[in-house]
Amino acid sequence: MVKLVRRVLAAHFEAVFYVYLWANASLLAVMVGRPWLGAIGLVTVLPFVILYRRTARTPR
Amino acid sequence: MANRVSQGGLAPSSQPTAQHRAELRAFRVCGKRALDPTWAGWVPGWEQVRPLAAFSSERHTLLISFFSVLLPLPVVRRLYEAGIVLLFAVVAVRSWRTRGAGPTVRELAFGFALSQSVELLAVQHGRYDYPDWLVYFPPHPEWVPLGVGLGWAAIVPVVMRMSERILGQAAPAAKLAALDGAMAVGVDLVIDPAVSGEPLRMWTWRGEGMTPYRAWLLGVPVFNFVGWFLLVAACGWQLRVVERRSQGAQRWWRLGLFLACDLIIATVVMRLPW
Repeated sequence: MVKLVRRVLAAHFEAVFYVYLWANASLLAVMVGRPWLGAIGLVTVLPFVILYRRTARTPR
Repeated sequence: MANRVSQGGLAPSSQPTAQHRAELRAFRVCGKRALDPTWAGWVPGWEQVRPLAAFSSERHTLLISFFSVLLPLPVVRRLYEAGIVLLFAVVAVRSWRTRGAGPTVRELAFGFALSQSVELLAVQHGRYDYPDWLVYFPPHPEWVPLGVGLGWAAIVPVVMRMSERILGQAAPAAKLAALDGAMAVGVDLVIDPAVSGEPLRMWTWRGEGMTPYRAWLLGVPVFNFVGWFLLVAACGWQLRVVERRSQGAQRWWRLGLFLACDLIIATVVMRLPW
């Protein structure tokens, strides 16, 4: 498990960091009573992550 | 009471009493039930729906019913501030290991210098305010927290690397920069409404002597999102141009020149009627 996490972080640190920012903000949104704010990221964050994942899989 | 909090003043917190815990339990059980106004009635709009959180201005305590966790508001604020510094450190170490010292120092230093300067300009123009942070830079006047500049400096290289993975490193700098800006705005659409709104109010958009806004989105001025896009895109474009077309000490001179131009543009943008 630790190895997997390390391998993912080594290869995709930026994407993990980006998703973390969203997750952290979503958690804060839940804490302050506006849980729906996190769902905005499904439209504004997730497309970039999907795009990243697709291109990361495709060899250039 | 409301004034004290809206101005950002935070008194030392105290532990929730047994009575407050009981009220919180009642709140959890009743879900959308309005709380006793004598206890937490000051928050503007609180009486509408706050199904997961309640906030006691009396003790400046953020009471989070989600997962039954109780966290004092000042603790949440300090955690947020410390978290930004930690994220900056993580990004710096990662960048140092993968890209080496030169590009890392240039990216982080330019990102920090540009964002901190623009933030100082914005606060000076009364666009927003950062009340009650622990560490400000420069320390006097207490305008912009150190963590804000470090946060920008951490986000810029992250979105730059993602854009380069998506479009390819050889893609035009302008195209990459536009994607940088779009990604930054994408995540800020979640961050800003959560953090700048009640009850955290890490930064405030309204106040005495501050410039009023016309256009708002999710409780945040549209100016903020435009600013995020422009700042991150400018940072990404200029760093790439400098890395691609300059050598040695010339890079620093060019970055300095870009910084000066950016500040002039930022001053003009801030004066627009947003």
